[in-house]
Amino acid sequence: MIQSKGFSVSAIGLGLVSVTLAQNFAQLGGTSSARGVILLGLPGALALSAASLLFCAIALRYNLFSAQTWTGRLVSAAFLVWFGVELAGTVLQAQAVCRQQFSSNALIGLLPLLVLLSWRMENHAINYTARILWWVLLVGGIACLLGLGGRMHWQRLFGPEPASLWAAGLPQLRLYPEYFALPLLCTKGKERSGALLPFWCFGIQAGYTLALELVLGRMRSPEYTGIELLRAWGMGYFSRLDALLVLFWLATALFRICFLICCLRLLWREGLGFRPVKTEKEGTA
Amino acid sequence: MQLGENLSALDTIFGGSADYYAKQIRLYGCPGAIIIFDGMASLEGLWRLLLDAVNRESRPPFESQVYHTGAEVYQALMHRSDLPAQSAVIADMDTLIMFLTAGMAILLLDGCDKAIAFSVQSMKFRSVGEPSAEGNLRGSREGFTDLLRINLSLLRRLIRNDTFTMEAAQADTTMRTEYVLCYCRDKADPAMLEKVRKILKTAKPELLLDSSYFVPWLLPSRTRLFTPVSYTERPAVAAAKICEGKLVILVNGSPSALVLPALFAENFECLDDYATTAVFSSFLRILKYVSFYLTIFLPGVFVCLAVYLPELIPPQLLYKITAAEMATPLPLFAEMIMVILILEIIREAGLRMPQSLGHSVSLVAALIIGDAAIAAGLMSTPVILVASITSIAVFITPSLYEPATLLRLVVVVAAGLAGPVGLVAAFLFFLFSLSGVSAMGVPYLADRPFPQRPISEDGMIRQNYRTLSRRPFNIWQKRRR
Repeated sequence: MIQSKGFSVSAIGLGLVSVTLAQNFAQLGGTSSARGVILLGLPGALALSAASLLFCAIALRYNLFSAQTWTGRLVSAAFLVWFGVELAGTVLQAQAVCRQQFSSNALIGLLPLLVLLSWRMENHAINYTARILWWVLLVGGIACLLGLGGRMHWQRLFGPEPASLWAAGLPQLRLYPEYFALPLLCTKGKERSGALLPFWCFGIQAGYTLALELVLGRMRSPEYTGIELLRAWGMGYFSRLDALLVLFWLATALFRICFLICCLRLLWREGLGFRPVKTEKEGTA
Repeated sequence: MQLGENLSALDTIFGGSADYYAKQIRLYGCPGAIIIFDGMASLEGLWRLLLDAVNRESRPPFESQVYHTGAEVYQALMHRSDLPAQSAVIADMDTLIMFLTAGMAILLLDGCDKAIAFSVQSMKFRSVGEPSAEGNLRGSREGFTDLLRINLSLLRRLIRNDTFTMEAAQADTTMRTEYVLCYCRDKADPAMLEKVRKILKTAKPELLLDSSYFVPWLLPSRTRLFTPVSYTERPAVAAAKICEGKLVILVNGSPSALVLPALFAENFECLDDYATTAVFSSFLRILKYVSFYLTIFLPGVFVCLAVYLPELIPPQLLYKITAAEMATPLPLFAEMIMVILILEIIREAGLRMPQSLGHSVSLVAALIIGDAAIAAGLMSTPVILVASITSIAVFITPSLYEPATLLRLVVVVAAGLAGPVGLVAAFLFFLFSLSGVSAMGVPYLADRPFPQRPISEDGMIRQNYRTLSRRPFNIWQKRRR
């Protein structure tokens, strides 16, 4: 029997991993080094994690996502806007990748269908889908690493570095609404694991930058972007295998769009109290 | 109640029926009548039963040879004789009709407001044979028949414990069809059992010709592609499911048992899995999963790659596909849709035709479509090859035929119209339609938390049967969402 409701940490994490990967794809060459990302990103993740945990405790203590109080409604409304902005950002990000990689605008046409589908979807469908997509992502990651295996050289990590870590600029520390909406989104009792989500994003960002530097060295030209790592992957027979990995990523990006729509629905119903009138279904098993 | 009144009432109801048989007799001086339906109950069996009872009678039920009233005879036959009458009290016309239509002989007595039923059924039925739709190499060869009581005996023979229960009831339908809910008391979830019992009781199907007719009442949710119930015609499979805590519904007149709830992974399992080695059955299961995904995604992926992402196809293969496509008038997407639909038409025609004609139709269709269409340049060989592979692959998991066929078309249409984005969206739609399904609180997808327990003991691959038997599976075990 199913015990609890809400989103699993792996479902929330998958969306964040997807958006972090998209950032890495779009990252311009020469903006940050692997050393910088690792050394400066770790304290950043730690700070975000602590902030997330603190906000979570406050939200649980003062019932901040409840439609019963005006503060709850206010906070929910603010998060509704934040999630909305995040949704728009994710859609634009996915559309940009689709346009760039596949010369396709089909996402715009499919968006209404995705919205309709996600609005009606139950939370457990998101959780189970996330589990399967993690496998897809894992397979994609392993395939990518296998394809890049012979091209990684550790000497490239020790190229000419700027004198100071700060010279190349701070690695981007992105704030996502998921970090702070854990009491609303997470399965009950999983808020603490949820607070570690900033480390997931940090892990992906650091891993990607490290792999990029191992394969291509420090990219000096801003004309190159992070997606060059996927383009470096190949198996000899195919002329453009990076498209396959982009397809894998696209699946997670569409998942994030659906997930964010579910979050908006949750905020609309739980946080703002706009629950639909329940019609009793006769004899549902 | 006078016998004549009862007989005339019955005559009004069944008098026009050719199989209605009423014979007036006299019992211990009391007028009575035996009522049966010819062909359902056997008069010969009834007399044999009566004679046997007379032979075994230690002492007569009445000391004196005088005329007795109907009530006295009823009391004597029911409580003071060795006559094996049914213990149920038949005090109204509805109950009488229920027993009569079940093939029993009914004894009516003058001046008595109750009737006695004798179990002397002699119905003709299809013999217990091997089900054609569920092939197996090892294990039982028996299959359910159309007669409910025979099916129940097949189950009882396999499950010989004291917790196995079979609850019979009549559905609220025009035909008053009998159905049975089977479960193990110590394994089934009591709350869910009560829920199902209530639903079956309140369900009002117009007709009940198969257990699947109950599904819209059991799972009345919105449109779904995957239905979290399974069907079996094998008593051995049904017995195994009952021992896992599931509920089995059997309907009179149908050999198909409905198992509730079902898991997606069970579509890839069969009895043979547990009779062979773990390694080989795991290999077969992986093959089945691959076939299932092939049948859904292969045509769509082919269309998407050939039309939108030719860079992902090795050059030599791409040249061949392009050359074949150049010779055909239709675009690849339309061609694929056409071939898939034609193959479905051939399959349906082969299935519904008389068996003697079915093979000929399939052969002619295959020759015409496969050979003539290519020769005429209407279709290309790669498209026919891909569509044929998918059509064959779907038969590895016949229970998933309906969703697989619909999803295949959805994927082809999405990939053909929207390219890679459409393909990925169709994949996501497939995942959502699979993971959104649950029945009675049990999700259709078995619990596979990432990454702690990536593969369960008896999922895509399975462990040794001895290891599996250490922790018996129960469908109601606690799961996370």
